[in-house]
Amino acid sequence: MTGNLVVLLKSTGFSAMTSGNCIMLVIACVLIYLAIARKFEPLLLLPIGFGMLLANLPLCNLMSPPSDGFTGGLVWWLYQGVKSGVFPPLIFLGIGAMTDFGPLLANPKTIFLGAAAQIGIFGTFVGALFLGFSSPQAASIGIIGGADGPTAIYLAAKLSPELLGAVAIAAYSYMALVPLIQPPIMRLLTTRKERAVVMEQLREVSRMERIIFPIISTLVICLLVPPSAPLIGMLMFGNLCRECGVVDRLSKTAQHELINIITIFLGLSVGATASADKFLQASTIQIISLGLLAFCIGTATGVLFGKLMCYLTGGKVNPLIGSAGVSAVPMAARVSQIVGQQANPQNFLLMHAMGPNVAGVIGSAIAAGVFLSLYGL
Amino acid sequence: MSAIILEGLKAMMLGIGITFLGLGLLWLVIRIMSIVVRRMEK
Repeated sequence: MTGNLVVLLKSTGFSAMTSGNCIMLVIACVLIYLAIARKFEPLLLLPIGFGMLLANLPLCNLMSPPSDGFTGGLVWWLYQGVKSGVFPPLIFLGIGAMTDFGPLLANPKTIFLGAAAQIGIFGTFVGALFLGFSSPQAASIGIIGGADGPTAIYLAAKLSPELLGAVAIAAYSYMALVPLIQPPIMRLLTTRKERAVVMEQLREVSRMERIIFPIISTLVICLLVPPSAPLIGMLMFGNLCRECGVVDRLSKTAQHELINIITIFLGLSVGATASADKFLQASTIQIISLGLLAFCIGTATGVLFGKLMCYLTGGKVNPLIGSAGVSAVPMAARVSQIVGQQANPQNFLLMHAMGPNVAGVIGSAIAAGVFLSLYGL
Repeated sequence: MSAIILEGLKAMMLGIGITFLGLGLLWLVIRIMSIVVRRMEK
């Protein structure tokens, strides 16, 4: 009887629980708390937190690959969609179907703000090399500065899967913290007069321009940086479905059902990569710190480029819209609007900031493509 | 170590250059497209 009880107890997860598992379960619960109670990027932090919880339950084998008659854990199968690079582009398909490129088409010079904000990615890449990370790992860390979750996951899964959990958690955490991280940097780098600049109302963009844009941007970007084709191609296909007006069913599916299903699979499987042995390392703290650095540099370079554009245009561009170049759509654009209104209550920067905001999505996909060209293929 | 950093700096310059080139080309194409489309629609 006692012997049977001992065998039974040894077969439970409690007996195999390590201190690392316990710490990871606490971290998973903190992420779930932040998602539910604080509403920090809940659509992704909740599945990521729960995936982390599942992966750190001993003997459950949810993340175990197939072996000796075992068909493979449920989450391991879901993870194949991340590892193979299928899920992030499908998320981009949904994002494309939800994105209005009108503000960018109406004021195309703001595209350069989206480029300037990517400097944080490359600056942090060098910083990570300096700390001893390999080039592919440094690239995966730097891309956190793009503030674009699917791009960060896509690149990390291709270049350094061992860092995927830490990179994804850092990326989504900082995206959620945009309203806290960006405003001090924006105020520090601009004068009150610059923040109060009122921009001209944007022109109407015709339907034909909206339809041609996704086609030509696919051609231009994918021919220049072919490894970015899965991300840019899906983003622009989703946008074409939205703008052409003849495939509403496809557009609505991409905007709702498809992106929701993929978000569940992606979040759970990315969270499950954060097992105790991979996550509880000194390098995780370095990744999280470097991610914050990338984000701050990207915000600063965007604002500084905005100041340059303000000067060159004779004060027609409000530098605050530069910070929206870090992607994090539409949160970063909302932050520009809020900080602008604090300086001048008559200031409505939201639509102007959406231009660099969506340009930042394209810019971070180009940056990921550059890294894949250099270290991935 | 310094060789790795030097390589990294080169990659950084290349990356920034290509990102600006890519978005710069896109800007040019959008400008041309807007002019052509607006003339066609007049």
